[in-house]
Amino acid sequence: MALAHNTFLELVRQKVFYFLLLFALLIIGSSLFTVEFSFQSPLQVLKDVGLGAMSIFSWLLGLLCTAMLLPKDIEDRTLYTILAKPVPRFEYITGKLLGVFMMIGLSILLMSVLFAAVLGIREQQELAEIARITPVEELEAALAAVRASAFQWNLLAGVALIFLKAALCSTLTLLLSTFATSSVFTVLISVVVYLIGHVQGIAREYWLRPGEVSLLVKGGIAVMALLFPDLQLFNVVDEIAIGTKIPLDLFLQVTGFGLLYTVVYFMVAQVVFATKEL
Amino acid sequence: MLFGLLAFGVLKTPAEHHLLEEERACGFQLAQVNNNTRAQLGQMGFIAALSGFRAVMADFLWIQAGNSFESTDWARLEVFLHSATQLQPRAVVFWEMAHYHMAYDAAIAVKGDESRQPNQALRRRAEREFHQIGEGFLLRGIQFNPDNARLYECLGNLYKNRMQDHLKASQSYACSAQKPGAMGYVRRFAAFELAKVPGKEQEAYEQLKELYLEGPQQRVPTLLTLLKELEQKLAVPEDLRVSNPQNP
Repeated sequence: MALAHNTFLELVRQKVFYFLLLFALLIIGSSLFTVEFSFQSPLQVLKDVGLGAMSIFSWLLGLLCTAMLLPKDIEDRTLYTILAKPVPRFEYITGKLLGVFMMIGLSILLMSVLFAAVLGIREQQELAEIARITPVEELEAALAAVRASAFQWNLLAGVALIFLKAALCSTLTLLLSTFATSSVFTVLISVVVYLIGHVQGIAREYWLRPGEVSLLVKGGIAVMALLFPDLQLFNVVDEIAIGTKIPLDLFLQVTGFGLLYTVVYFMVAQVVFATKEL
Repeated sequence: MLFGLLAFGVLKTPAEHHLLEEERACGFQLAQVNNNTRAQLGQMGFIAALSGFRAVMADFLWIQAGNSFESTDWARLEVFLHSATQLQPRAVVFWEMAHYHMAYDAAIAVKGDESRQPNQALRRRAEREFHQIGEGFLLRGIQFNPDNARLYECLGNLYKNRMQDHLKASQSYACSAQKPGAMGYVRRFAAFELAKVPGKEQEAYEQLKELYLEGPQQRVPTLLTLLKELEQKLAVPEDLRVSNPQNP
């Protein structure tokens, strides 16, 4: 835990993360103005932009934090100092990853608070506007419709899955950084893995479907489907934002999958790191 | 290690497939991202839509649809509406607005636009085509949101007001009435529309009578007038007429 705490503090001190966090907050704030350009429900656009920004910035924060962990410690020679003490490599890498998770968690918490505040303010503005222009007999239904399109507790499940996805992507980045030679390489490959993870589902369906493609292509698709996680499974927040309820058992299944992926890729990272010549 | 990962992959693949199917059954992951969407979004937008920013991309297309609407470029508007609804098929408001822009705004605009098409017959044909496009949006919307009362109600309105198909209008209102959150008046509308269909008068009368007997909240002027008309048309005996104040 001491390692996790130190990693977290170290990450918080790095200005690049403050910059990214500020940028994420600005995006959510600016969505207040973008809603004016839409002729759809403004609260809907606000939720889409807010949750989309939260998703991309949590992933980016996790990616950049994790990609720098090992190369920075090797460059500063901190890694050797720590491992010279009776700290097993397993504990070292676990602490590092937990520190990143804490950082992502804090970022998502801050973004969620701001998002909820902006949504609340916008909801009040909408309610006031509706109350001003709607005839009395239709007012109750109109106000209920606005309230239903604003904050719903269901959104928290979406935010939890955004965290889980960011944590999984960070674990994948950690796995890559255990054998990568530079943080630039880790970042680039992690971005590619992120993209592959999102089309993995499409690839898997092609692989499982009979005919259509050659055996060689099928083989390539199969390797892709087997090696990478299906990140699309975590993208349920778009539907949650428009009011689709996520059943508890489905939420638990997706969460379970996320945790399983994270544990497996983390274990692989452990094995690679344990055998790495430092 | 690679073999370990591949072994894990073999185990996880069927489970992933199963989970995806389960998500789809619960109304998630229904979006269709295809080449049309790619043409609308461009390469980066397409990647963004695939990378978890589908809703944002759908909003972006929706805003662009707004620009096409303002410039009355109906063909372009249809393409944008099509792509936006494909990206966010569970957003009922997208389907509802898309059908309205096509079946009402665009249809009325082309019907009266002599500057673009002087031939009245061709203008009428274009109007009908836009009605059908609007109908298509609603039917697809219903496929993705089968429990939504509002889309069925819109479909009923479209058949009633624009396409003059009273039987389909009645059926759509009746479907709407069976869905959660349906408006109280759709059952009456279903009966009103059925009464306009030749040969369905008896069935319509039964429905109207049933509504009448439910209580004063259903006894709106249109219902009372229609009941009276149908009783006369069907030659219902005086002592059986619900519109007769003498009868209980």
